[in-house]
Amino acid sequence: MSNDPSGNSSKTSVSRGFFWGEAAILLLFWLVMSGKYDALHIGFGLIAVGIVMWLQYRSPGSAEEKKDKSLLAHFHRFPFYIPWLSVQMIKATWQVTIIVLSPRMNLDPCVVEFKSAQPHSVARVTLANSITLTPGTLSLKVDGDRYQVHALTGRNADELLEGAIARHIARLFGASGERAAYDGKRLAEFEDD
Amino acid sequence: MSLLQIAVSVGLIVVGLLIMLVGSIGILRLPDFFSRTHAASKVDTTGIIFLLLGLVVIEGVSLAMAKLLIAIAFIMLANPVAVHALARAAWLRGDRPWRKEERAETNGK
Repeated sequence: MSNDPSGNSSKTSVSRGFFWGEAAILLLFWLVMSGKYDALHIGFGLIAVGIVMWLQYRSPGSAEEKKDKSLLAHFHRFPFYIPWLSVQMIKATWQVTIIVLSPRMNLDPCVVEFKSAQPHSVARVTLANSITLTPGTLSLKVDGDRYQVHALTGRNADELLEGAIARHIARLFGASGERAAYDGKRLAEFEDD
Repeated sequence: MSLLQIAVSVGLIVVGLLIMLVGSIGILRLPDFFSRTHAASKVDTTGIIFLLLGLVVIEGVSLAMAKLLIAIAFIMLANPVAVHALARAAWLRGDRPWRKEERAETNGK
């Protein structure tokens, strides 16, 4: 964060860019969903967008996140996230299919806990969602940096604790991926014996 | 609508239905809430996405296709959130996952 006057003004322009960018996305969404392009319907759209923007900007805590450049700066990486997530989902589906359709369901559930340094709350939410959609893991609880995760098999748990997924998400949001998964352990009452 | 288009979309929809079937069997067969949730989250999300992709191919480039793609994006975002809310509620309430050892014990009796 630079403290010179020009840095200050670029900060406002970033949040202004956010404002108009968000309004444009909302209006585009309205246009796609409505499919009617006369003055009346577009007018309704503008009113709806106005209400949504007002509701969002008066909600507490949104102002800081709006000023966070890192959110906007890494949007261009999302096209790489979707195919990666799709592959993970197909792998996950295949694994559950094998387990469910085999006569003796070969599963050995356990609960693991680990910590992950993610740049901001959006990254944390993305990581929790990705954990749920990647093979054999289901996020149970997210508390700051601490994640508690249910895993279908011991191997799924070990793969999660290696941290490839957490590193992927951290890099997606422009962090180095260091300390993406640390302090990993199986919870005491579920330890392998 | 070309034959190839129909073939691809029917293929995608059939695959989607089979995946949904597996998800349903999983919900019935798996032993406890948490492992059933695995079947409900990953498998159903993938199944619905395959179904909607089949519809996208039928529809071709149109406004309806854009709506379907938005629906896919929404499902990818909302399904894991809903599943996390359920799993978190069960976990915090004190539900504990089924374990392999327990089954070994009851079978040994």
